[in-house]
Amino acid sequence: MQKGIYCAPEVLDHRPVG
Amino acid sequence: MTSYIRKEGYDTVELNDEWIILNSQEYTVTTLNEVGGYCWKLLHEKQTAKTIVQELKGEYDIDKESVQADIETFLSNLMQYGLIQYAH
Repeated sequence: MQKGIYCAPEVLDHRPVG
Repeated sequence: MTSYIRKEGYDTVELNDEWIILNSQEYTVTTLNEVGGYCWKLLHEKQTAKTIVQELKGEYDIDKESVQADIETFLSNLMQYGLIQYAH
């Protein structure tokens, strides 16, 4: 099986939401 | 070696190679990139930075030496945002 391309794991965004 | 595990009460949605984590109790939304989402999936069970690196090496083509540091930084961020906790 072909392996995926690695990039560093990141937190892109975190925010409260009769 | 420090172990980590997810906190309870999160729902996860995968969308366009990003992972969106909803916490309906704390009312927060957190977005992770694809590799971050893979790590998050692993954290369903108790993990250390080292075990996560081993799993990543099986899934991704990794040739850099700093993976361990990447994972430790990522875990630190997840702790900061309250998504994971220390596992005993």
